[in-house]
Amino acid sequence: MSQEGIAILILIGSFLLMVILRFQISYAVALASLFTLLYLKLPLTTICQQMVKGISSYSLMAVPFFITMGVLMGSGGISERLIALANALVGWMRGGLAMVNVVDSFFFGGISGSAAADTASLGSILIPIMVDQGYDREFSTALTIASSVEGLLVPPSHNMVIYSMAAGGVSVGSLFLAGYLPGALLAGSLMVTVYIITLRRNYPKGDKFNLLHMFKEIARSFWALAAILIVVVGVVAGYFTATESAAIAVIYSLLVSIFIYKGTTWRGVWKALNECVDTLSIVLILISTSSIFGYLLTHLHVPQHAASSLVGITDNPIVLALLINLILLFLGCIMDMAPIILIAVPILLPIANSIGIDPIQFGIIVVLNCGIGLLTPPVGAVLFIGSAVGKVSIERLAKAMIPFYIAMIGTLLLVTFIPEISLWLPSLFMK
Amino acid sequence: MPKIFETIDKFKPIYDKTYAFILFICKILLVADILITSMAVAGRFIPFIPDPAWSEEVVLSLMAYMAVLSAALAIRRDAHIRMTAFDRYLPKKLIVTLDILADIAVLALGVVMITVGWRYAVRIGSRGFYVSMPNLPRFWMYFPVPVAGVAMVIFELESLYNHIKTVFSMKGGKA
Repeated sequence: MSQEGIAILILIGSFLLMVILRFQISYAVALASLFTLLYLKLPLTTICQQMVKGISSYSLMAVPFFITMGVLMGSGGISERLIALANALVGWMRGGLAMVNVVDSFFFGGISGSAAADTASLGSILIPIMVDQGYDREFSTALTIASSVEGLLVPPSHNMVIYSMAAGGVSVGSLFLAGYLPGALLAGSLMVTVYIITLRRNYPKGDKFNLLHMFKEIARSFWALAAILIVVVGVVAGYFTATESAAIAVIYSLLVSIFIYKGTTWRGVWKALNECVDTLSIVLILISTSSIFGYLLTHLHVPQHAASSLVGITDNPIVLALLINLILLFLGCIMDMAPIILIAVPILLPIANSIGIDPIQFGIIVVLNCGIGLLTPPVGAVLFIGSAVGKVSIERLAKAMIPFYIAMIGTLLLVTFIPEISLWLPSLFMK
Repeated sequence: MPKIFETIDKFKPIYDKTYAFILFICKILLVADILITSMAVAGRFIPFIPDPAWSEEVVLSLMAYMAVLSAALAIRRDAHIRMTAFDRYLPKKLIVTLDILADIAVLALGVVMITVGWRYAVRIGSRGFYVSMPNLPRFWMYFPVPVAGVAMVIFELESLYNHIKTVFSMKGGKA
């Protein structure tokens, strides 16, 4: 075996071994890189260079800011307002409250950008109400966690910013716009699934549609939804970069939460910052250490080797696209979202490009795959949060998820094979 | 359980205070990042608000410090992402043994980051300066790496101690 082959084996083999041995992934990537550097007799200062380089990206600053914005808005009492808005919009349908659950995640997820926050925040309010109205507990919980994935696609999503970095600087504005239609498609497919189940189980209808009430709720939620507008319009129109818009959105969220919604106080904000630091403590170091790993992947030509190996199996683009999805889904089942994006994207993106998948579309595919992974055993974090919030065992919850898994996989296939779903909006606004 | 654990346990309040202090610093760094970035944006549109040239470099450096310090906090909370999918199928003793192995490896990584990081930061620091602040050596740009090492070592030592203590308590339980 060549020196490069052995180095790749050390890099990927030791990393996988350490992951299996329950090492923290942030440090497993750094250790695997350290072993490889030692084997290749490369200077260990590469660790310092790459760690600092990994974290010294101005675009990356959007990640902590978006997380802070979501936490501030969440603690500022927007959940109830958004539920009321969704109720006014779709509560009148058959299975109205279930529809509210789906639509609400579209709004709330857009603000929080986190499936876990969506499940914990909306689930704790909506699941008990749904159960009181006669919906099965398993169904209510499964729907809550399935719809939470919308938030990963609907902008502003900090995972899109991480993908942008991992993909070598894909436009964050384009990624934001690209997420809207797939997010809406996912919501639509979940609503169709809900409707079918609702008819079979005869779940109740909500109150009659009232136009005046709807406008009233839009007005009540306006200040929360405007945060999304500031970010998306600001970035797309070129007024701000993603990072700048995120910082402005944090200040805006702070003012709305304290002075308009009066859902929190300055003391509450200071406390809420603990939650931001808790989340950032996991994400940022991972980005930093993954940078060394990414450098070595490139140095050892791993993406090219992976591409030629995969193309060696088949050169049919449809089969290759399905294979990429399978790999991402498998990784999603055993790993968390950020490490998959940071580690797998540099390897899989060149393969996706070679079969004509645009980097923007690939970003949506990766995020959706990872989102589905968050809901699958054995490590799906959102599945566990849903199980705790909904008080349903993992086994019963996974069983209730089956129709929603089908809907989500259907959406994933549409997003994979119809590029326009992701690329139409960016092509319209980002010229 | 050996008496030495009782002696070492007396250090726990110091660790609690260190944790609270680092958390406080991280929150200050995050707030500073948000304020400086917002000020720079506002400065572009509002004439009397400054838009300093140093904002981007300072914000990035502050974030680097926040990233490495907060990562050490996550060690204490055992919050770093790891594969725990098969934990329920593994014997508790094996899990603790694997935790100790991981602690030792991360501790070693911390030591490498301290030594290599410090040498690199000093070398680079003597050669270059921040682009927007010609008086500030680039030492501060690379200093987060040894800082990360120190913070990792501090909290990994506690984690290692806790895991060793668990092994002894398991043995005690059996006896």
